[in-house]
Amino acid sequence: MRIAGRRAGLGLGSGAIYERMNVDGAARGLGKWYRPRFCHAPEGLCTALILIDAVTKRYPGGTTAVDRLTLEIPDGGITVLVGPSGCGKTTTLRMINRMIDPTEGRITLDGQDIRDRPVNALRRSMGYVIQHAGLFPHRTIVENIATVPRLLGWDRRKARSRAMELMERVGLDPALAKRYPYQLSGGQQQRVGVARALAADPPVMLMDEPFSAVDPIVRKGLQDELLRIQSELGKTIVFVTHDIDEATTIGDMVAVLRKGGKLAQYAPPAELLSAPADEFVEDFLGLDRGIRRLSFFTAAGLELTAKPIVAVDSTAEQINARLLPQTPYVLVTDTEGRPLGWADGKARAAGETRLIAFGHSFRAGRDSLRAALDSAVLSPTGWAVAVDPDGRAVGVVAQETIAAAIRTAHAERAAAPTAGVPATAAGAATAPGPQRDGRSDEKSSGRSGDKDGASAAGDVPVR
Amino acid sequence: MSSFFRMPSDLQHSYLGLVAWHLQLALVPVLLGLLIALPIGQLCIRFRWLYAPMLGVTTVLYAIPSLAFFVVLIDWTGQSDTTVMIPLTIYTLVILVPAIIDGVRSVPPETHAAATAMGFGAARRYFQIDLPIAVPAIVAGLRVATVSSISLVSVGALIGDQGALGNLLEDATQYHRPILAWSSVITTAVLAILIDGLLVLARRLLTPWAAR
Repeated sequence: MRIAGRRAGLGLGSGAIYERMNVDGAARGLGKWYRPRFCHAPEGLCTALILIDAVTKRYPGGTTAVDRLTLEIPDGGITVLVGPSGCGKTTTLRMINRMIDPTEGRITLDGQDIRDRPVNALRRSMGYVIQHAGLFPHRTIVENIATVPRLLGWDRRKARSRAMELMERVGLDPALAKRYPYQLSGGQQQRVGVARALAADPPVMLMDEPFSAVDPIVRKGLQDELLRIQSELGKTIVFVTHDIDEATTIGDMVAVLRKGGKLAQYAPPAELLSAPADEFVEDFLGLDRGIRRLSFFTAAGLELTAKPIVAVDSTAEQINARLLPQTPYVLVTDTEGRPLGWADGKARAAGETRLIAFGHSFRAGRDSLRAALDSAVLSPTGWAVAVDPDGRAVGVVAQETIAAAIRTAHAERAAAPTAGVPATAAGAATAPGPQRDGRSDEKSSGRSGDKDGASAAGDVPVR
Repeated sequence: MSSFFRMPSDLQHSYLGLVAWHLQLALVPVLLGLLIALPIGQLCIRFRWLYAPMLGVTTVLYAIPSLAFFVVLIDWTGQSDTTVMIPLTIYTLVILVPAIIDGVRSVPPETHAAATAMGFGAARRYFQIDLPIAVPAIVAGLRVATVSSISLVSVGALIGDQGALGNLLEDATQYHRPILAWSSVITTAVLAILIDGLLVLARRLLTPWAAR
């Protein structure tokens, strides 16, 4: 009922936003990886739209943490605030749940000024995840997760069963329920932090560098988990990080802030990487933004060849028959077809058994061109190994072939007139409010028709 | 050995009676001290500038000899338990106020921020988050305050038989029974060790969550 009321309260204008966001999501090919979240959300699912409207935060000493920041944070998506330290990203996040009050400007949630709601009720409607998790050390895991439901007055049993359900959702062993935070690893604590933020099913999640304090492997796992949970729940997530790689990996929209709290660029990650707004953004993206951008191109179109693949028990004759003119090497696999390493074909036919390590493989049809290129660059032979989901080699591809595919992908992207400049970016800059008329709406849906084809070429974050 | 426990009749208490009285004189001030120190500690956390002057005041009070307190108080409260307990209560503050402040400040900033962000009001956050997390530091303070209080009770003998086990010291010289002095000293020490042990046990039970 509550949700229905809120949706209804959005009125006509916000319908336009929903429509537009949906169009945008489809155009960017998100639907392939996420359920289209913006209007096909499952029953009872809460999302919310946040508008930050010309917000400034000045401290008494005269420092300006945030300077006339205007951002439209789409509902049901992950919006990342990224920038160097001192760029006001955490301040911005904390203004959304009123832990900090803006000096000027206002913030609205679904059209309602956040100052119009009792502060604790507002905060209980926004999940909050923080660096180092910030768990309550004196409460068990299940009690930690049940915190907000208990604050909202749920009875103990209902809050507990909800907490147990969430432990499962974030991938925690239910046996940990009765443990205390100090008994968990950093990664597990952070999962508890996420579960705790999700406990009362808030429409909004605020995440302040949640994965910064864990090691890279755990961080990757947590990011994947967040994306999986998000694909199921479709929350409006505002995520703060200083790690641009994390921003482009998980963000649907990325806001780059510069020192002094000024917005440098607000765009989807693929656009950010291909068209940084200025030198600051370009510097911030780092020297490998070209490589990183390849994450948004699928390797599915790569032409693989299975010819120079030989089983470990092949005879000299069989090996000679499989040699390619372009390379003296053959890929040796075990009898199941899993790659073991490269070998010089002629030498192997002559009885040499030593193998050259192949680095790592990429998943054919699923991984990005970035993964394929990396595999080729790592391999001493200059050839990348593609495998199927069971790890069996399905083909190999040369660096040169990948380079050609990259050029083709770039050319296709350039040919699509509006690809890489989705409506959101323009919309955010010009129309911070949900007041859009039906006409502009139609226009954007019309445009999306053209864009669908282009997005197939790879405006898809391949994860 | 039996004379260790046989009390002179002028004390009007059995051995166990003296022990109970001693504990009462020592522990009631610690409890009162805790009740006074909690709001003072909270004030010092709220208003940081208060901490230094507050610590100065409690330290100066601690430096006043108990005899001086007795001389002043005896006009008001007479030759009573109250006269002994008031200075003892004041003495505990110099230990308990910093202990509480350190304890509450030991709450990790991200835990504090998380509680605020999740919609805890200030009072609820204090009682449900800050104070429980401060328990180990507060108990550490209580242990020092309790042991010191148990040993200090004996000075009550100075205002005439208000020192519980301390009264035995005077009787030991008066009746030439050094065993009474031994009884006083050893019993006081054993009480201090036992109560300290109980506090450690209480902390373990109260904080199963503390990493050991």
